[in-house]
Amino acid sequence: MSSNMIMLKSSDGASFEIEEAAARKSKIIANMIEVECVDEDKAIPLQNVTGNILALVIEYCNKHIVDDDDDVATEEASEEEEEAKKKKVDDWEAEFMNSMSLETMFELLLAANYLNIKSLIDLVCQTIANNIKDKTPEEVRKIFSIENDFTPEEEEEIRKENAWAFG
Amino acid sequence: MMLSDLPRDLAEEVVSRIPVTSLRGARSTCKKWNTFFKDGSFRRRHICKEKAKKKQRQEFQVVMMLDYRVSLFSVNLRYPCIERVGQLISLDDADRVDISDIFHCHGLLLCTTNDISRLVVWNPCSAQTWSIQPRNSFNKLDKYALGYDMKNKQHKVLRFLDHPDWRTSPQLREFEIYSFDSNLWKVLDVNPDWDIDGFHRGLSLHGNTYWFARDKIPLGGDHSYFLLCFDFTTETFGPRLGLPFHPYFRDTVGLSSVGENQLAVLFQRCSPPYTLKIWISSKIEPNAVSWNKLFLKVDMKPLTGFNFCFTGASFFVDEKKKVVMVLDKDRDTFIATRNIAYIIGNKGYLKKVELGESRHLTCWPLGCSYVPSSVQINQKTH
Repeated sequence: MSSNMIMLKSSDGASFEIEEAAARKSKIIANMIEVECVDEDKAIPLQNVTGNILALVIEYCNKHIVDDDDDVATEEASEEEEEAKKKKVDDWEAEFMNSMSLETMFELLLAANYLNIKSLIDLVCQTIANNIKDKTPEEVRKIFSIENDFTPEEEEEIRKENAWAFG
Repeated sequence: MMLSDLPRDLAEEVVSRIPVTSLRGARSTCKKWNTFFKDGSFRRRHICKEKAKKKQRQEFQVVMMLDYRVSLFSVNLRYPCIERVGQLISLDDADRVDISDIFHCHGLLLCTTNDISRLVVWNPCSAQTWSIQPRNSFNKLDKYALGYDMKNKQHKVLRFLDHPDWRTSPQLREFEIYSFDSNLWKVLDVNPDWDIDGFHRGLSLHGNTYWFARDKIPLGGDHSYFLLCFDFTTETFGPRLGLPFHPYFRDTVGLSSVGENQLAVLFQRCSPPYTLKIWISSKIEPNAVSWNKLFLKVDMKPLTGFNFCFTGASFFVDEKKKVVMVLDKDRDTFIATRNIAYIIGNKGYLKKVELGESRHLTCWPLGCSYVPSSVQINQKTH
């Protein structure tokens, strides 16, 4: 495993040191490393990501690079062990997401999208979507700042159409 | 920063992941979201992803009717785990409906109610329901199946009833098929020389429905059981399809699907040692079937010491792990009211999972595999 360290610089000037293997979770950075031969002394500037969001991204990447290594090391792990490990990652991700506000989630999603980190995009999208659970339409509108553009008649029609639902 | 600040593709990515149990609130939020869920293409991508994830984790979804209530469960037979994902909720509390049976086809659920007042087709994944009105009236003894007509590319509902009516003899016989296109029932001309027992439920495969059926001979005779298929494209019942076993009237037999292409049959004699046997088809079509060699054989005497009381028990198979889950009731007490999922492995492994009480003795736990889909139905409005 390569233990090269590289530097990332946020839009507000904060610098972070990160293992290359972790940084490669981002397709964009991986690309930069390969194509542009990143200078080890220079930080990679990320103009669209603020320092506090970049810190979260790095926390996520660091966590997942360790897990990926584990996968290689214990290739012959039993199904039960695999399952236990998966659960550990799930628990960590749940706690990680739990610690942030909806607004932070949106910013993290934009950053993950910009840096092209597929698994983080999936995680954040799912967590935001789960926020809708057990909410009334009014509450959903409020959370997501959505304007109600239905006429009362249209709203009644939809209500009727989804008379049954899993809840 | 808000959802509306996100680029369109990211916002869609979020909305498409809204869990099936949160759709009611989501659809009524605004026009854009409502269109998202009604327009199947948008959700299809996400459903595919979910399916792949579930397959990887060897999980599958089952819709169960327990105590006349319908719930969605996520099931994993590897590390046996049965988790309730959501329960059917109606529009308001005053509208609580008692469901008598459920039938699954292509992500659509056909539900009948205890008071036979309603026949509803429901796609939980798009939060849409379609209500079907009877030609005259529904009957408590009706059998229903939901299927797909490949020629006309549309879903249809089969309703039939073939029962001796002691008051008005001859038979009370009605076979009819409903098409959403016309929103009408059409009478089918069927004169069966077979019977399908009331407790035997149909199973949908490739848009057609299969049942256990037997020769129409007086009770007490030697009933010869076979499989029978209703082909929704030709709107006819197929020929008798052979079974790999020969059951008697009180034996437990069940039908289930394995993946999207094969059918499994369960057979358990009603006398000791109550050996449970399961076969999986190698080929199944409306007019032909062939069976693989015995898939699972478990001597139930040391495990439960009885045959499953519900002779038409629902069951589910994990093909790779050779594990089966059978829905039945608890037999430890004299009056069986507790619903139980029995998870049985081929080396005499048994685990019981409690699924709650049923108010009525005759309310058996029913289940069908559920595969979410974005299938749309266009129902003509009169």
